[in-house]
Amino acid sequence: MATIRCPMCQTENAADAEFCRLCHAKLPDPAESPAPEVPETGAAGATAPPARGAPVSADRGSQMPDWLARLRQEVTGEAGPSESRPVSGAGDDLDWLGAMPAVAGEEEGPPPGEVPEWLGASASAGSSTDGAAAGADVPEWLAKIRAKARGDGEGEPAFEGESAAEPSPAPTPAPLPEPEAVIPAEPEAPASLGLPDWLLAARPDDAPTVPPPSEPERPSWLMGVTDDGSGELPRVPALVFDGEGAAPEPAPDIDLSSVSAQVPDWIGEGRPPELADRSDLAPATLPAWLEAMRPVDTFRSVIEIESAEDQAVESAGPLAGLRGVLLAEPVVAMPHAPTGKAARLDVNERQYAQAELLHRLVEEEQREVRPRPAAKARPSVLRWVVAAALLVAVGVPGILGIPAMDLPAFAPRDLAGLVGVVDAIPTDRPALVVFDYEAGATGEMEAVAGPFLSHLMERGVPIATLSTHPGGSVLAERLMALQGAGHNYVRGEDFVHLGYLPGGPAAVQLFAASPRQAVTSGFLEEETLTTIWDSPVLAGVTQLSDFTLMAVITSGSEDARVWIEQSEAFLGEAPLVTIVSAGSEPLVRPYYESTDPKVNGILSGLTSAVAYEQRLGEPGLAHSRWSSYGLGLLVVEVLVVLGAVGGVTTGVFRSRRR
Amino acid sequence: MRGGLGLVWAAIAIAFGLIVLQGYFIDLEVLRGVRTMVLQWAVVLAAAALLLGVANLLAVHLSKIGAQEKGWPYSAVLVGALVVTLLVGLFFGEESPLVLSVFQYIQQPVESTLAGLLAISLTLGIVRLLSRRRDMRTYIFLITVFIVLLGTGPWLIASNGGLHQLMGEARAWLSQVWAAGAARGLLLGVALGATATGLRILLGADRPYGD
Repeated sequence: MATIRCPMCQTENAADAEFCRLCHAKLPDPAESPAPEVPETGAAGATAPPARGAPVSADRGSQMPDWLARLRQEVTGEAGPSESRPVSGAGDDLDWLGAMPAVAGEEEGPPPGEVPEWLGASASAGSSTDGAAAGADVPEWLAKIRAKARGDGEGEPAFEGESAAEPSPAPTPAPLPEPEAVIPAEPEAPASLGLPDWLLAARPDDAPTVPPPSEPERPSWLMGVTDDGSGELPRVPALVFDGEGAAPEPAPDIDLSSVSAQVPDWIGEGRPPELADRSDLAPATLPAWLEAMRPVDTFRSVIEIESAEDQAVESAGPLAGLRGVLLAEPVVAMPHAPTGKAARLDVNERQYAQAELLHRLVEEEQREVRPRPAAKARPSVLRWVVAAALLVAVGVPGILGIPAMDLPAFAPRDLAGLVGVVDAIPTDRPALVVFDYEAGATGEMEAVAGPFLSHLMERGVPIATLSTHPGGSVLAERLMALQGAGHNYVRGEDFVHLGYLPGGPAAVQLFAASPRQAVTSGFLEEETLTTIWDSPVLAGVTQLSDFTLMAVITSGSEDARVWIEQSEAFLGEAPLVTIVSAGSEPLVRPYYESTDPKVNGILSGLTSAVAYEQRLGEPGLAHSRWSSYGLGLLVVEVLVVLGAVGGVTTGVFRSRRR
Repeated sequence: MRGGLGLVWAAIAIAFGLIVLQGYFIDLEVLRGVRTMVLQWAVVLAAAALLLGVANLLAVHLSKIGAQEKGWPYSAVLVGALVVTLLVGLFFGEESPLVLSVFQYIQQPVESTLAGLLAISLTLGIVRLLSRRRDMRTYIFLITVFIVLLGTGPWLIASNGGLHQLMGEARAWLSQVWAAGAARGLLLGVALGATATGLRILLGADRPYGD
């Protein structure tokens, strides 16, 4: 019965079968690639390699490579096998070699006439059956081996040509075609072909050589396997159980215990004697850190294999539908918890402490933080003490008039310049006073600006007020009413309020360029006036330079900078003075202390104001607040000293405690 | 189209900038009138911006009240005060005694109180400074503060002794050399920045008004 062998599991199937009855692999179509029918009792070695699957024919033996045919012809002087020599069965087995296409760069054999001497000698030795003739060119050590092989190698296959024709008892790789003509009869030539010269030179003369592979020696483990005569190669059955087909054949019980690597004796002799029997060497030890990481009890010496019925069926991947395969998805893709045994490490106390610390850190990070209830703001005692001290220091002198602080003995240097400017201005034109401070700064600014306004009123200068702050006009009215009461200054007759000037720097620029167009209505102006510019106070004023003086009262350096920079070009000969707070003085002073000063006079701080009032001889707001100001500063100085001493002391105690 | 409009806006901005700038160099009646008109427009726009700011403030705090966010009662007080002041101003006029009273008896004391609290907070911070941080800069700061306070305070200035002279000169040296020097540096930086910004806008390199 014609059968076909499965290329996957080597199972015999009927010739007309489309799929393997065991592994269900698709069988090759006999019509396309006719598989050779396996002889019932044929030698395995006589069969062509199944992978090739090419049909065997006698004529194929003639398809020897050209270079090999040419070589044989040169050596033996015979015609090529395609001409006269019959094709042996052994040569037929390797005819597929000749059918292989030539590859670029493939060696085509030696050129004609350049056959090596040893090959020629071997060929001549092979042509004649006398082995002694060939021994002339054989090395001495090889000749000894050969002689020994002839002496006690009774029954053993030799590499000589006359014995190569004997049938091989076991399936062996097929020898080269025409071994009696091409393969040299002596084994020394092939032995030297693959070895470098230095290795050949190092080989001792009397060193035993590798036994000639005249007949492949069956290993001991293979001895137990008997050929069942079916011509099938030993195979391992697939772990696939097909319910419809036959059950897989049990694998032959092969004893592998006898398998051992056979090392040539001459290699063993080359081993250094001092390393041969060093049984006293200490065994290799792992480093401590590596030993600590070594998993314990993770090796399973016994693997339990489930029965075929209990094995799961693969559901994913290319092996889907097959039973008994290793399930990759649960191992690789699906999450699983690590086993406790694998995580058990041999750690010391330090590593354990570090691991505990890391565990606590991670646990702390993962812990859900509950929102803390807002702690009630509890003012510190120090805050209450500081606030109470300042309130007492400022309030007591203002209410009780004690203690009275001494007045400044010297006037600031800037005061003389400002007084000189005010004394020099003409009184027939109004002075423009800009009130650009917020209501929170009235405590300082009213005291500072008070003596200046008093000086203007003392000289009888009409005053026009203006502000770029929404509340500036109200503050101006308040201070003008306060200062004007002592100088009989009446609103509408002696002073007017131009009101609020919105627009920031652009408005200042507009007012400086064209005051009448920038301000059309004033603050608290008389109803009889059409516009504020109809007031007698502003008579004759059409531009900024028509004012006799321009004064900017501000607690912010930015306001002072805007007014100075935007109006300076339009002031002409009119002087510009600034009355600023002590905090903004450093940023205004550069406009005053320069080679081309933009500011002609400056007044800053309560100290200058008190000195101004002293100069005018009119104690005002500055005098009334001087004691509170002085005592408050004294308390602040004492608190600063106490705080510094306490801070240093606390720092020293803390450092000693550490 | 968008690029064309951008060029138009740039041309308008550059033209108006040059019109205002030439007032410092050329004194022509026509140019002066144009410059004044442009500045008036700017003032009107600034006033409108103030109104927009008030409207935005009202909207923000109304949303906080509607969402009952944290501190919404303060927003309610702010909105209530704004509405009341606005209505009083609209009905009685901005110069009415009632409006002036609101300013004099509410706004001014509140702002002055805040300034007083600022003085207490600064004093408390100085007292705690060495307890929280002790380094060279802290010591320099505290010594400077103490010298300036001694040079400013009336209890030393009133004296005619040598300590008065010493502290007065030290205070003047700190405020008029170190502080004024730093202030000059700041002003120079501001002037250079303003000049560069103005030139970039006049040259069309910066277009804050859009493309």
